[in-house]
Amino acid sequence: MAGIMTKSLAAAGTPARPRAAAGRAAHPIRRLLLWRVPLGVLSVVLVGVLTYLATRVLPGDAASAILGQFATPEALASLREELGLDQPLVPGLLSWFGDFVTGQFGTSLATRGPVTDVVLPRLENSAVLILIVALVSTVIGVVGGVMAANRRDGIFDSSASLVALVASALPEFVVGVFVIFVFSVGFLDWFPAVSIIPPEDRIWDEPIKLVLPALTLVIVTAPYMFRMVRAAMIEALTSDYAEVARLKGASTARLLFRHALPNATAPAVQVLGLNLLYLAGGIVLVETVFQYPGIGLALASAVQTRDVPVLQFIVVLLAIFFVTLNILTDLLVLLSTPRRRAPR
Amino acid sequence: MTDRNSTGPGNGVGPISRRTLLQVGGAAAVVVGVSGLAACTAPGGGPAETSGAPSGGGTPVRGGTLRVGATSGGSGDTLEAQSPLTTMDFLRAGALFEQLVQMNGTTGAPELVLAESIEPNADATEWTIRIKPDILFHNGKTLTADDVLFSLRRIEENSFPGLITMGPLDLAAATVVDPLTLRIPFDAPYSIFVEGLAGVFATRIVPQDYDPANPVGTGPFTFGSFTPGQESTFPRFDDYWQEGLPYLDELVIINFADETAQLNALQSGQVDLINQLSSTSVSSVEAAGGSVVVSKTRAFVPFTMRVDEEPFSDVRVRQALRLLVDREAFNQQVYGGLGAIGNDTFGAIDPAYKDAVPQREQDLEQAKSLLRSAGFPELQVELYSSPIGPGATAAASVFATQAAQAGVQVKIRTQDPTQFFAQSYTQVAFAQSFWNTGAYLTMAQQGMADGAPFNEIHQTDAGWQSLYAEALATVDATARDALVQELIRFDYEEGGYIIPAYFPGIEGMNSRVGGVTENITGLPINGSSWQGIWLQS
Repeated sequence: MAGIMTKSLAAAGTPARPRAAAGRAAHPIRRLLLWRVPLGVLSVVLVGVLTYLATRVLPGDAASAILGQFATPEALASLREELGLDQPLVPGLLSWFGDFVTGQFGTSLATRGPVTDVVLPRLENSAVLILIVALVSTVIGVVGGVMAANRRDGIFDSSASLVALVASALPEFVVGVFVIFVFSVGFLDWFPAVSIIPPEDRIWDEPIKLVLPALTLVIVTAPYMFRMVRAAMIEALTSDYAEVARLKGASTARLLFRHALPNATAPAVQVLGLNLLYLAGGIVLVETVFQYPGIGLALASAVQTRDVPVLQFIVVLLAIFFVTLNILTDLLVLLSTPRRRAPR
Repeated sequence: MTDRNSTGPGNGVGPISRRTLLQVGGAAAVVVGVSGLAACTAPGGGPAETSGAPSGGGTPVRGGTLRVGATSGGSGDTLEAQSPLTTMDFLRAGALFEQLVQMNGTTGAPELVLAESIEPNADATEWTIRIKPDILFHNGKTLTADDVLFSLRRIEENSFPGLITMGPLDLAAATVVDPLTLRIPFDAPYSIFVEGLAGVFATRIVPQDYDPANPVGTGPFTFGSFTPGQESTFPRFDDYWQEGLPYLDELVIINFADETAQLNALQSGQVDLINQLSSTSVSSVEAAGGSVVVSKTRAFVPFTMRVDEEPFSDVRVRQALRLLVDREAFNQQVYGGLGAIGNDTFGAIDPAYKDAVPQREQDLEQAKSLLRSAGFPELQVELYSSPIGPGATAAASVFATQAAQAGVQVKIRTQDPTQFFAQSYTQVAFAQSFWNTGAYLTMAQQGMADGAPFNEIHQTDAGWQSLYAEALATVDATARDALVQELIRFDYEEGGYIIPAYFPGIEGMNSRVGGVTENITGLPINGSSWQGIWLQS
């Protein structure tokens, strides 16, 4: 994950750049929105088209996935007709696009029910998990980062930095197996090992089943926040103005929270954005380990059964989430960096 | 393990069945009845009726909700009575529906369930089915011959897999003789109708007003809820026709995506019973205080060689590849030694199978010699593999390693199950497949006879086809067994299958679960019969 994070970090951290400064430069925020929103819409459309094409290129279709070994030519032909899989490529794409824009998300080829019935309950479960993880890992990362920077190279800083380094090097499924072993089936019998819930329930009906998946993802994501906040705080605390403030007798608390922390806001927002992006795409493995009834499991199942409408709906939702979050992150970074938000 | 199609072709009938069937009531009268089989096999697998090592000793108790964690399902899950596709579909169907006759879990022989007798005329061109009286559907209606006819016609109209083994029956001309009796003419003699109905292909009986959305059957549990890919619930059917059964108040079947999650859920007490485990999980279950039931099935994941494609069109190449396999080592490495050794032909539960041919052993020198004489001293082959059954991809690797000892280079191409069945299955020269336990003739009907839908090896030998047709028309059991032995000998010498081992069925459970027994059919959890399972309080 480290590699992906680094790459994404660079991309997300780069604010929108005006193509041409014709005449008086526009306000950076307006410029960002004018440029990025249409690009975002275009990205989502492209993702939709590419997903459609990719699913058509995949060997096998929903009919052969459902029938498996029993896919005799007659059975295949009959099921394909029933599922409407005999549509040619371009008309199929256009009709999907038209339906999607008008809010008709189609019918799952596997369950034969509305796509929204398959996806939305799971989306809610995943959203709850992602939000809890984002919140907890941000609090832990910021608090830990501030404490570590305040006593740089102290015991807490050294040990927390080491733990963060180790944690960020571990794949999420390894962490998942580890927390199950420690907190469920190995040492401590505190939490359920898997997060199975009755289909009509939502995960908040049984919040205890959120604990281990959330803990796993917090362990994976908090180190980035911690390291980024720590680095930004150290930079701020060693700057000239912090030195001046210290010489003028500012208290440690004032120095940390009034002078240094605001400078760590922009990097923290960026990491939060990246963590959210990672969580939206990266929960598939964790959901599989915990059998968590979320969008990741639904996505894996849709790929397995070649359930194109479900697959497309989930992928496009994720694309919208990614694009929106990227724009919001950049906007927040802009707002939290005074020298960049004024027109030049 | 992605066991998408672990309920592939194959059905079974065993020695006792056919002999009994054909000898009861004189030379011409073939009777499967209370007097014959049913007397020794109370269907459904209550603890008293099945052999093997049942889990959870002690006396069965009533009550409780059994939570089962199973793999192989997904969003394509179905509750369809007559065309279940995955193992999980079979588990659900086994709760709701029953067949006229099914395979006995110990021998594979047919045992009567809803039928009281199934009798042919002298030349097996007409069969009469008599059903047991006073069997109720979940909706309170009594099972009649009309329901049976409706069910068989439904299979025919929808071309469900069960149609393959029902033979050349003429349902349009079938007559309901009385409320409990159905007479069906056949277009040609068909001596294995009972075995065909008993197969795993789900010739399950549904009422005439059957609605798949609200399924009704005669099974031990009724329909509660069903969410594809997640969970289904089945409350007890209080008016079930088998006295005192089922033991459980409710059955809950939960989908799992992988084995690790299944094991974790069992260990943390979130489920009571898990299925389709690999041999490496046995120690994990036992270490956590649970118990394991290992079934020596006769189901298998074979290697299939197309006899009409080079290099396998040369019988010496096929013989050589079969001689490459060290079957004991294969069983040890792929199935932890828990499977049974295979011998490259169908019909392992058949009376004709025993002593038909000697056990084939690894012989690398003979293999090399055959390959040299066939003109392939340095043979290279491409094997299409896919996780379509227990140990499938490991089996491919082990085979490749063993083949390398004789200088045969096996290049493995692994595909996901959907791609495999869409592109490679029955198409490529060398691949894998999945078969459940079955008797020779019903398996051959699906895999080798003219027009067989699963003719993976492209068997078209005229002599073989003629012997096979003769066997189907032979009512006398002894005479038919002799023909089957000839067919088996042909396959052993010239066939296109490599069957190194039969995979084990491994189920893990906590100490409260009782009544789970060894089962030969290859279908998990008592052959997907639930009425004999109980939970200690």
